[in-house]
Amino acid sequence: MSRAVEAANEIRPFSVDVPDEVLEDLRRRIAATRWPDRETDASQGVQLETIQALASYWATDYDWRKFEERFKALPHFITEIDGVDIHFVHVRSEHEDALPLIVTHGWPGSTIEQLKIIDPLTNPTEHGASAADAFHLVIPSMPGYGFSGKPTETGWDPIRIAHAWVVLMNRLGYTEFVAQGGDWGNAVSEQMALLKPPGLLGIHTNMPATVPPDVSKALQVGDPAPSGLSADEKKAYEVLDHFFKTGVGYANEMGNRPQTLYGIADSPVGLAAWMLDHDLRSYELIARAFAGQPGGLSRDDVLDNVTHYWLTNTAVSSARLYWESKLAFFDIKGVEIPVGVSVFPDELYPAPQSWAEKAYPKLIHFNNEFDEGGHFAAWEQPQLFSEEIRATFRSLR
Amino acid sequence: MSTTIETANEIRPFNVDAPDEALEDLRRRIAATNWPEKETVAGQSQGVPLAMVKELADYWGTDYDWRKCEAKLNSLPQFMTEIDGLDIHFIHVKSDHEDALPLIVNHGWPGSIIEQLKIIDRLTDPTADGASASDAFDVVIPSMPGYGFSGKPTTTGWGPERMARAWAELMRRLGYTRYVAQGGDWGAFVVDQMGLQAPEGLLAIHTNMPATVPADVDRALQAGDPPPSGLSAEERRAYEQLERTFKQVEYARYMAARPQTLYGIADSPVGLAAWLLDHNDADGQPAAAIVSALDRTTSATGELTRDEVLDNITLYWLTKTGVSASRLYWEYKGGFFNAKRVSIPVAVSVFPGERTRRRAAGRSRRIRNSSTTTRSRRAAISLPGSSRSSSPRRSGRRSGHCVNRRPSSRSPLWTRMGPVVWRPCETLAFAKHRHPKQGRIAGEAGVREGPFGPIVTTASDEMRSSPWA
Repeated sequence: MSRAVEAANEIRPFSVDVPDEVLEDLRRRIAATRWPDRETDASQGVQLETIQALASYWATDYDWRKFEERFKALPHFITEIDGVDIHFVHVRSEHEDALPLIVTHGWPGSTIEQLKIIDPLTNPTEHGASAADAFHLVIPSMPGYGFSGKPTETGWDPIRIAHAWVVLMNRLGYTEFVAQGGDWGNAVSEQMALLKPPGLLGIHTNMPATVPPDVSKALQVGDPAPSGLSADEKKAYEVLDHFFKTGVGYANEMGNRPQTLYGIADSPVGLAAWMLDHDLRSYELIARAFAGQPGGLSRDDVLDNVTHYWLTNTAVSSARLYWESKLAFFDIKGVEIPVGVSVFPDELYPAPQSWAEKAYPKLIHFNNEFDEGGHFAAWEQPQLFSEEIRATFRSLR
Repeated sequence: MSTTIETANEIRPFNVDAPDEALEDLRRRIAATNWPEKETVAGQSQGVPLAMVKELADYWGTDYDWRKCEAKLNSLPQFMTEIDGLDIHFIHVKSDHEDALPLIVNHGWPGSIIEQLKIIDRLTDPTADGASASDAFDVVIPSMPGYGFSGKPTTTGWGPERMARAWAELMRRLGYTRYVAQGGDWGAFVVDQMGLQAPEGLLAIHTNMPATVPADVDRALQAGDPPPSGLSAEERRAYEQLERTFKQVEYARYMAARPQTLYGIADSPVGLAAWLLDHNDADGQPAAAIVSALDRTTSATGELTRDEVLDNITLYWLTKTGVSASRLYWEYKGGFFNAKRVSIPVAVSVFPGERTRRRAAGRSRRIRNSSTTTRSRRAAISLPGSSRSSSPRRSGRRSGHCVNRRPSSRSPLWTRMGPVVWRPCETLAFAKHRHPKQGRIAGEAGVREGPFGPIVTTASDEMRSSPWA
């Protein structure tokens, strides 16, 4: 191997250290926010009262350093893959025969979504599970996200990211591994499965793409649901129909004009509001946290993630993934390797088991019986989520 | 009349006077912009390119002078009056000519009263502009609720229908018993609604963004079906262009769904500027007329300049109307280009875009020579001076109501959501569905080619050429 190749394949330790000035500048900007008037109807977006409560906490009592300390305590690395620096957290289990697992975040998420599952998965015996359920965890930041590099050319869609993740796992010396994701992380994990790289034993998804072609077509043109759907399928159709008609504007805007979103790059509050408004259920949950009733996510969880986007200046680079991807979000992709599916009740749509069975012929796990959990399942319900991961991959070890 | 009502109906003089601190704060914010990285493509397919916005911001934060715009605005008689619980700001310029026809002109998004400034003289003082005293108008140019210096609604309900009623009340309050109305973009929606409400005294409307799409065509467009059979070539082209256009209006869909979430355009001058710049024409985003304006520091012939673009953006900034203006999209639940069946007289001007010159090179060269050099969505703002044009343009003026204009362009100027590429006077096929009286207004005239090519008129010409004037 030549020196150049060695250097390119090098895995460098990485640490986060944000200068004080940057944090002060952020506080100054939040304090100097120029506010619009109050909404004239609650359905118009993130409510002024909620975002002002967020801003007021963000500019005063919120402490990035608290998070940074926790974050820095993890083993971080950077390695260049396909011309872009890839940042990742890599935590090895102390248990022999732990199964290597690569977990991919989504938008508006980051590696921060996954921090709460690291210990339950790498150290299962401390969390009421067996040593045989241990994982080595690899949690990368997608290109354009977090501490990974920002692509300067086109082409970094989920397919290319999937290729890069296979390279990453191989570079780490893992010859057998599994992959997990929701949101964009699902798209990436599914694309990994389609690549069928040697060593990828199976995937787990918490946002499965299961919509059959006839249903997808009806949704696209706004037709009524195809006949013959079961009650579960009809429900899924209706939720998706509502989502496509009313809830997908942010994705379409980023898919068409990511660069025009200078306002979320320049305004902390603009960024926070844009990120809070991902889907109605998540927004409700987050709004409750800022109204003093934290559920799955705390105020600090939310602001750690938003601040992370701000400090890495990745508002627009992350949005660009929507422009890059030509994949239909929920259409069946033809994954043939083993798949586990967890359907949390507040996810974008309730994937029915019948669709999951068709989408994933080797469906090794399906569970939709949860009392709580939404789009950010790993972040909101780490315990439940970890149990799902263990249950899914037990048969593949 | 009780004192309360008198007070409510009061018309107060209004002057613009932005505090120095607001202007300094704006410059400071522009200079402190936190920029994203450059787009990963050459061109504009990911949005307004970084270099374009940075160059504009450089100028905006240093040499650009709002006070010039303010002086221009303050040289005009401006007023404020409360209608339906909201302060309405308007410019009101009366013609010196007797029997001038009162005309209310309604701007759109991302526009403002600044769109209309250049047509004021031409319409109120036509003799100075080579037109006849009998073509004179008294001009009323209001700011829509949530826009410019008008009040911001604090409750729902201020859609085009309610604005239409407010404008009728405004004209009544000004003592006008016979008047006409004009608009493009949202202004077209409002004047369409005025046409539907047909308040006493409203003689007719003129639109430069006509809603003419027949129901079957509209249905096919919504469903993504192929066009209905039996469309003429022009109609088919309009269909195809609308299809493309509907793919370029995510900004409109976003504002219709979640206007309040756009805190970034309220807080960031550059965020606001990019959002306002990125309005499409049929061929692309941002619209060609805007992109070319950013390189134009002065214009002897009336094309849109960089200063005018910034006057408009700065007006949004200073009045903090980024979000309140967006809310109009949320308010409106109706169709965009579907025919509304306005039954009072209507005139339609369909302006071509700039990019299509290459599609009909010979013809468009003539259009250029006819001195109307810019045709963009913003007819009023970009075309004011063009009437010093040669006779060919004028020769067609009375040919009815429609504009005798060749659809050499794929993109009429306003094309915010759907370009209309047919020749209204010649084909008017869609319009026929909509204007029962179009025969009187437009259809009878037919379209003549001018001696040097198709007739191209300016917004001012369009207004003057109306038979009711």
